Amino acid sequence: MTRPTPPWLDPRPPWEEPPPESLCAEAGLTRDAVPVVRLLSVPSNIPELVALRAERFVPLYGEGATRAEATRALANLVLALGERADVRGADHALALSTHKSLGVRPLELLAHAVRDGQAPALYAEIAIAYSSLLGASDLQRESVARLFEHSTDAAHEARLAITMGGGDYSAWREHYESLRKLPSSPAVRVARLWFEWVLARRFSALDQLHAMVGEAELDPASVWLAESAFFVQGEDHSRERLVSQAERVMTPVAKVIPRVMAACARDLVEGVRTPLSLRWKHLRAAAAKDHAAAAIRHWLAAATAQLDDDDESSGEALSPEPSRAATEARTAAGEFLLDWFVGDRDAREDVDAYARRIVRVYHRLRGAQVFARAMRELAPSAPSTPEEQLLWGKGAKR
Amino acid sequence: MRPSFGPMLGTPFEYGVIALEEARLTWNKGAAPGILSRAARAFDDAARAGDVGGEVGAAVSRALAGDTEGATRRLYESIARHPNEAGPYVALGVVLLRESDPLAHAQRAAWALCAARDLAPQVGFIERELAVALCASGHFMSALQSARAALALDPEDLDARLWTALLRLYFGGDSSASTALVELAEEADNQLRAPIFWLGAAAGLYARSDFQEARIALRRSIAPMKVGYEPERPFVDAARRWMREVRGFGPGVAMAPDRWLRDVGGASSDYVRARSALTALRDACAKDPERAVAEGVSTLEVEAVISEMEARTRRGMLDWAARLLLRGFAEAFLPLRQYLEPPPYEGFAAMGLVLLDG
Repeated sequence: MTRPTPPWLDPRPPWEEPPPESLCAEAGLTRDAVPVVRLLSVPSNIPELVALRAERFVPLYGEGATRAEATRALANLVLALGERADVRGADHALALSTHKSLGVRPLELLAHAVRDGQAPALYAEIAIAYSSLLGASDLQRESVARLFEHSTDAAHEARLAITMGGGDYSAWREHYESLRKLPSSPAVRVARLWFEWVLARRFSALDQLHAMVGEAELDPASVWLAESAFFVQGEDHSRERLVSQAERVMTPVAKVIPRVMAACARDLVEGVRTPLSLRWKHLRAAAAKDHAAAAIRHWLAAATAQLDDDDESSGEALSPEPSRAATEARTAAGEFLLDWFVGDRDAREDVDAYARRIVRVYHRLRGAQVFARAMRELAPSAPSTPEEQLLWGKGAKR
Repeated sequence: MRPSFGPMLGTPFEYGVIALEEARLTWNKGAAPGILSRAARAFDDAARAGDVGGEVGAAVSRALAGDTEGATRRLYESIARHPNEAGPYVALGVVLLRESDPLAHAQRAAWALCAARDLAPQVGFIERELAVALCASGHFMSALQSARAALALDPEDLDARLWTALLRLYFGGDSSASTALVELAEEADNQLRAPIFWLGAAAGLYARSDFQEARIALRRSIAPMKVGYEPERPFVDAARRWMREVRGFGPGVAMAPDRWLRDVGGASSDYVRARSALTALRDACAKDPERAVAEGVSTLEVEAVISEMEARTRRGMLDWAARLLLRGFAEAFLPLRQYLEPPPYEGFAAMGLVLLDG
């Protein structure tokens, strides 16, 4: 298997450019003292911070779509989210995602390699999990995932990373629209139904979620997402199940990246603190919907069903299209806004805040699933590089 | 008693009015050939002499002859030249409502007629046509106000009574209006205006569950149309299509107790389930008031939300019924009316073409 060599490595990669003099002077360093960051330091130090600001770092997959780079990504996650990680480790690791002068070119190269079968889809999934685990914003996660949505094997994770969001800019509706167009899979269906119940307040979606959790083969993150929907309904012991399921997903990675667990716990605690209040706000938002719109859908369906005896006087069958008034009314009644933007703003905003937290935890859980799989599949027989030793050798045990 | 009328002074204008009157009197699914061209030429001469009435008459003659686009353009130009004259505004409203797709032009017609009403208040014809335009554009409350204003000016006004009854039935949920619709059609017979009013009667009869009678009323409304005659087919189809939607809507009025649950989507609808979930929440709060207070939920508030949801849904249902059936009626009724009837005398008077005595 031959992989393309990144063109930016020859003659000199951009991260080896000397740092600006002014920046070094500001930090009281000489140019030589500013390193090129490949792996984050624990704890962080001044030269490393200057290096990050001066773009003297190797970005995610900056040295090619290789196993070594995939391992380096995992190692940086461990350094950013490990037990003794720097307080701002996650931010520093996120900064390593893309290099200013290269943009997303390294990830594009990876996407090409995955599409052409020159690299396993797992590498792409690691790139997506990297931003998910670090708690990237919708925009940042999407910008990474979008590069992989056409790679057959990585498309599923990529599309979920893109569509399962919308809280940062209140773009739930647009995200749901994209989600509806995705090829159906159990995880996608759960996500879709979660949107429909939590954010569009459709009770039928809640019933379907119950049926799915009972029957379908779901990944643990999706089961957790469904449980977060049941929590909104105020089901008994839902909070306990929500916590225990999150723990179950996190257990395989808890020792290596314990800070993900802490981040999830923070969001969870905020989200599930007042279940009665959340249920009340959700029901208020549900009550504020235009329920009368159901009536016109019903009337129009009945009008269409009566086509058979439409032979008034002329004896000729009437074409099935409705009147202009009916068409416009149906469009308005089917309008998405009716379900999504309810008048009770206070209630809606509180439910949206809950949804934002849940989505963040969900992506972390999906990331943890990929991380655990990568740790299994990329494990070497004998760890040799510093990254491998960190992940599977003495470094991990430290 | 209908007031007498007479043309305004001024020779070319007078010729135009006489020709227009002839077209009106001989109207049979349109004017006899040549009359409207004569009227238009005479009005053009009057318009060249700077007469606003001439401009209006020229545009209206062309609109009645089928050139509504040219007429609309002329009327906009006339409005630009004479912004404080009511005639061009009235004519524009009338012409736009005579378009083959009145719903598409209803908003502009309503604007023109609103402006006309400001310039010439207390004119029954303007109020009545404004009610029609507002209904067709979906402003039902304002339409009801205008229809009532028209009725206050002339309690015998058939059109105003028709639209008031329709608004009462579909927008107000007043089932007694169905009787008024049926009676109106019978009354319209005496004024030789029956066919189009039978369309309203069909709605009234269907609302009263007189299904067979409603079918007959529909047939009577389209009776003037020749069976299988292609140019008349759109009128027939529009009426039948509207009736089909009336049947889908069903007898009675929206939010009536016997159809409430069905209209709202049945027992598994979001409305019913949200309501029962709110009731369950209220009970939970009553059982554990301390926890409810701690989480900022009050039983009274839950009660209020339940009541508000019900009230809003009932009102919303009437809004949707009006959107579907009142606009649908306008869509079927207005082309039929413009085909079978020329504008009335009061219309020409409101446009400043003739003077009404009495």
